[in-house]
Amino acid sequence: MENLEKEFFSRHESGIVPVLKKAKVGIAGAGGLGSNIAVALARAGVGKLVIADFDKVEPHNLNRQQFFVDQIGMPKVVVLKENLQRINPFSQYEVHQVYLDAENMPSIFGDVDIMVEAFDKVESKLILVETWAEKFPGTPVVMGSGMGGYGGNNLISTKRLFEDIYVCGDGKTDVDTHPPIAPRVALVAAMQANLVLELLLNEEVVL
Amino acid sequence: MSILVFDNQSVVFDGEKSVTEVLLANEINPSLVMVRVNGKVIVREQYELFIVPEGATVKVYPFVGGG
Repeated sequence: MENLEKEFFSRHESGIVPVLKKAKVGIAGAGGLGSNIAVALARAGVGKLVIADFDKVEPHNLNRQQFFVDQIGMPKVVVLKENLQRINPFSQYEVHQVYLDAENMPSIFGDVDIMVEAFDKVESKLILVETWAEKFPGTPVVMGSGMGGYGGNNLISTKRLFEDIYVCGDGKTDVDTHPPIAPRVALVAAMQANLVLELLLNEEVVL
Repeated sequence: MSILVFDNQSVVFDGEKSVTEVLLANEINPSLVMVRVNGKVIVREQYELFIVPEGATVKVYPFVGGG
């Protein structure tokens, strides 16, 4: 197992494996963004992921979320943990099946190094960013906004809103008017995960 | 005189108004945006109560659904 872990990360740039291994990243939501972000960060070797979501896997999730047909009906966080353990058994996955709100978010995610917002509803995105700006001003927040539809690769970007608050997406395509499909959701999820690595490994973010 | 910054545009307004009043006067849905007044994030429970002081800069950050 120890040899496998060494080989698993043998293509990683030297020196970054131990830094990623000791990192703790929170992911609020395990849907299109959250499940893809979790898979990317698990493969990258982030040592601990804390993931929360209340929902169960439904057939219409499978056009973009990292679940399988035989997991329909199961709690997303439970089966996501199983999938992550199959991908990278060397990291830890702490999952919470709960509807996140302003009350429980700080106790679940209060000690993470980086907070990733992966909610579906705008209301929840706003509660998270307002709570973190007020209670955890030194902790970076990586948000997603605008990943509906298809095409428009170069309309997607990463912006720093202020201080440690970042947002990835096109900022426009609400999924109510632009139903989400795998590639574009995965693009934004990958940008969020990539920014997490940059925040963990570098002193400055290149935007 | 205060300034509202939204969607790369700046709008000047006069008088002390609540955050909700400032947003609605500019046809911005309060439930879809984060607001900072002079650099401080205003939580949404305070939108009706927080009075934007004279000379303030109000920055509005819109979000769209999906995740």
